[in-house]
Amino acid sequence: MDSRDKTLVIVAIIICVVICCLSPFIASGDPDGLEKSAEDANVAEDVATEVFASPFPDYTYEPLASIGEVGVLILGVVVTLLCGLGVATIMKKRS
Amino acid sequence: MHIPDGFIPFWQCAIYYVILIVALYFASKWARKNLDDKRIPLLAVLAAGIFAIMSMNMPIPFGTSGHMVGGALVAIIFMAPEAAVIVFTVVLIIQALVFGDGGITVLGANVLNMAIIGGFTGLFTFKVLKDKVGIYIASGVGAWLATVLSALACAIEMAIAGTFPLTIGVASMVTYHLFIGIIEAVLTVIVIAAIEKFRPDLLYWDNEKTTGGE
Repeated sequence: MDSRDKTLVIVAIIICVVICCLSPFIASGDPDGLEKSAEDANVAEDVATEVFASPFPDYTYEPLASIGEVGVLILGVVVTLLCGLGVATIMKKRS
Repeated sequence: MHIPDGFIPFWQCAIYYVILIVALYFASKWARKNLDDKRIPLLAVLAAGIFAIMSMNMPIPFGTSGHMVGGALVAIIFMAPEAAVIVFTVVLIIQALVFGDGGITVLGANVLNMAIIGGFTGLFTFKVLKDKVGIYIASGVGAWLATVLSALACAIEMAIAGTFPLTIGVASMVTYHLFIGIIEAVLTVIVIAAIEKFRPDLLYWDNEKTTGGE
C-alpha cells in the first residue's frame, strides 16, 4: 500500500467515524421503506424472526445507550474494513 | 431494504443462495482478472463506508426513512457489478451475523437486490448516459433507478414468498424508494466527484479493457 492509498484509507476511516458518531443522534427512527411496506401490507410483527441472537442487535449495546451505539458502529466499520481487505486480497488479480 | 429472516420461506432462500453462489463465481473470476493491488484498499473502504452510511437513515415523506445502499456506486466505480457482489456479500454477512440487520437465511435475496440488480441497473444506466449528459448526471440517474428497481424486485420477491400481496407491496416499495433513491443519487454523485477529484487514477472509466463481464 503506497502513501496515497494509506491516505485514502485514513480519510475514509475519519469519514466513517464521523458518520458513526452522528448517526445514533440524528438518524431517523422512522421505519425504513421495507418495514413501512410490511406495515402497509399488515404483515404481523412476528413474521420477521431471528435465526440466532446477534451480539449487537440493531446496532445497540444496551448498557452504554447512545455511546454504546457509536462504539458498536465503529466496531462494525473496523470489522468491515478488515474483512474487505482480507477478502479482496484473497480474490485479487493473479499475474 | 434489508429483508429479515422469516420473510422468505427456506426453500426459496435456497434458490437465492444458488444465485449468490453463481454471482460469487463470476465475481471471483472478475477479481482474478481485474482487482489489482492498487484497488484493494478502495474496495475495502467502500465496504466500510457502505456499512457506516447504512446506519444513517434519513427521513422521507409518509413517516418513512431510508438510507443509501451503494450498489450502483460500487458497480460504477469499478465498472463491474461483480465488485458490488463482493462488497455486499461481505457487508451483509457482517450486518446479519453481528448486528441482526437483514437475515442470514435471506442473504442471497439481499445480495441479489442491492448488489446484482442495483449494480447492473446503476452501471448500465451510467454507461448509456455518460457520454450524453456527463458522469455526474449519469451516475445520479443510475443510482436512483438502481434503488427503485431493487425495491421493485424486493416487492416481487415478497409476493412470491407470500409475505406481501403483489399490488400493495409494489405500490408501497416503489413509492417510498422513489424518494429514498434521491438520497442514493445525491450521495453517489458526491462520492464519485470526490474520487474523481482526489484519486482519478482509481477509476476504470478510461480503461474499458479492464472491465469485467457485464
